[in-house]
Amino acid sequence: MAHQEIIGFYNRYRQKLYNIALRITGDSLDAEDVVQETVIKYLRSNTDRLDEQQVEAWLCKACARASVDMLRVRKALKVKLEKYAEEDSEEDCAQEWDILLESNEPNKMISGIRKAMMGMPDGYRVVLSLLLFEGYDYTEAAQILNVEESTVRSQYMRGKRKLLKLMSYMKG
Amino acid sequence: MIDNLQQYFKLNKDSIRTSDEGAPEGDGTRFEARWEAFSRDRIRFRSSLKRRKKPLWKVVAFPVLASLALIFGVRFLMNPYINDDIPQPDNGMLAVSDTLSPVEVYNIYYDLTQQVKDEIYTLAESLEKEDPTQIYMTVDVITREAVPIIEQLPDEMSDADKIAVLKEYSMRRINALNRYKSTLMANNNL
Repeated sequence: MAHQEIIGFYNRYRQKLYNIALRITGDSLDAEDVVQETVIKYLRSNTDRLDEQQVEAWLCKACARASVDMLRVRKALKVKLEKYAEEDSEEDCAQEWDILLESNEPNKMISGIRKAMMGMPDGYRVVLSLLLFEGYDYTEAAQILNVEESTVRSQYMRGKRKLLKLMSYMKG
Repeated sequence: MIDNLQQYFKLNKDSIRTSDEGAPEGDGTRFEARWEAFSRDRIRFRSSLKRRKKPLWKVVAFPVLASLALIFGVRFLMNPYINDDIPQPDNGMLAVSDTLSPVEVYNIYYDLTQQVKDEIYTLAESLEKEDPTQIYMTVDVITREAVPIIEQLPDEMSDADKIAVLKEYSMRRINALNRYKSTLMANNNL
């Protein structure tokens, strides 16, 4: 790739990747670092045969992994995942969520969830980001986080409850 | 299986994009600098790998010596097997066979083979630890000739060449039988 093409390639994906990294790391400097590393990693690898959609999927997954790695190195993510798993209730809160989701239009609701998530502990924020914003299933999230699928599942349930509390508090 | 919240996000993918924050200012310039630094490092690394130009004789000598070493090395390693199987010049049969026709040579070797076979069969019956049937089968595998070798040799071949082939072929079989016999004896502490 020529120099201009490389800059063009970076510009095409920077926004999407930056938001993935920011939601997971919760830090804009770390997020920018992760995005640049991810793009360089892609450019270094032999991925010429991928089509547009596959390139995006590759970059998104690599960016999510790199963000989790960054968090793991800086903030001992695994310890946190286990710590919070012991503290919070795993009880489902589907009905309360249904009521809350109906109370606002999607743009506002998702924006509110995103804001609330930024104030949550790393473990919850990462799991919620992967499952909700990035759309990964439990298996994929478990692979990215390098933990058991059951850990992801229970973290998600607890995170959902905590997020609901935060949302209600913000609304109130 | 996905729950109501996951379902909500799947249905409202566009709203996720709307909630996205803008990338930090100047990130493009920082990326450019980083990419250039990376490319520079890579070029430096690659250029440090470049070797000085070698004289032609060195370039040629190494593969040639390596090939010779490989050929002679393999030959040397295989030597014990090759020497054991090829008839030795001091073998009494060779001196006699030079004056005989191919058919006569074949018959002599055939008798010799039979002789060793009989020795093994006699041995098989005296060995308590071995299964005689197994021994007969092994001997049969070594000596069986669906079409006798003498009939397979083309007419255009000279007698001397036929005799040479017969000698090597028969001695390999006899050596194999002798080796098998020695193994059986060693296994039974004889």
